[in-house]
Amino acid sequence: MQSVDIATIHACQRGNRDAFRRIYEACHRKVYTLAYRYTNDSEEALDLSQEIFLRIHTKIAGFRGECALETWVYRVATNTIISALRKSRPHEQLTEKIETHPDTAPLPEVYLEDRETEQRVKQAIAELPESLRLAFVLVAVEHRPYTEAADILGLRVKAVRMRVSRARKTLRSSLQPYLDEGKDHDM
Amino acid sequence: MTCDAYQKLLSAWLDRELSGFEEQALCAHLDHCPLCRATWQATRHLQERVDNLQEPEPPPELWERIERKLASAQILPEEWIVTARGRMLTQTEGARQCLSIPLNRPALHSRN
Repeated sequence: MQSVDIATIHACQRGNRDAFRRIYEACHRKVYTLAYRYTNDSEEALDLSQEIFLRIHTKIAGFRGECALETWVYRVATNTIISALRKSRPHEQLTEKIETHPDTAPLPEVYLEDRETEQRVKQAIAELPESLRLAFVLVAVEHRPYTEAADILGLRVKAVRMRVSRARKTLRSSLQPYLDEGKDHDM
Repeated sequence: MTCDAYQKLLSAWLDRELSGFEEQALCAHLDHCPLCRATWQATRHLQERVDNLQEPEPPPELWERIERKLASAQILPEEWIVTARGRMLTQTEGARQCLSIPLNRPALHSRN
């Protein structure tokens, strides 16, 4: 996430729309990625991202600089995702359509396998239990330290560690055929 | 420690979040436990797959949708208010603390 200076934050808190746009530009990729990784659905991620930024706009006056703006944005994002998806319809299969290739020539098998594997991995992440999913996305996908993920999620570091470990165990099980490919035989 | 306990350390090892002591114990165990080594390999392969996921591109219409919503609903940042002691609070905080006073409060006239 690009950094945002304090003057921009203060201007946004006073209702300056350009300042809010600058904050949006600095963090919209990360916000959308988080929503997308959570849902594996581009439409759902778009709706969630819109909701997240509307909440940021409403709540930014309450940001006191007690943490980095990025951390605060992620907190708003994770809270929005959790409450929005709990309110909506219960678990549906959230699947991403595989884009059809315009070329009529048959695709290399390796490409197809890679695409299928990617879809499976994304699907498996989106199907993780809610309690594990955000911790996994923040740590394993976005490579945030445990302390930062704990701060964002309002958990202890030990809880984050446990959730990420359980998420990986669940994913290893559900994705086993895809992980056996290219297995190393040496240690 | 059991294999189950060691396998619980693998995730944190991958994230470089183990203490030196834990890492030492884990490496010593992996040296002679093929089961845990296999789990470690699977954990690494999983992470490789995750790292290879393409980053999604936010659709360009995201900002347009936000702007339209802000314009149509006239959503404003929470207003600032000033307390009797000169502190600035958001409306929510002020309502909670019941300390807010309007900025243009009319003067009270004493009764005769």
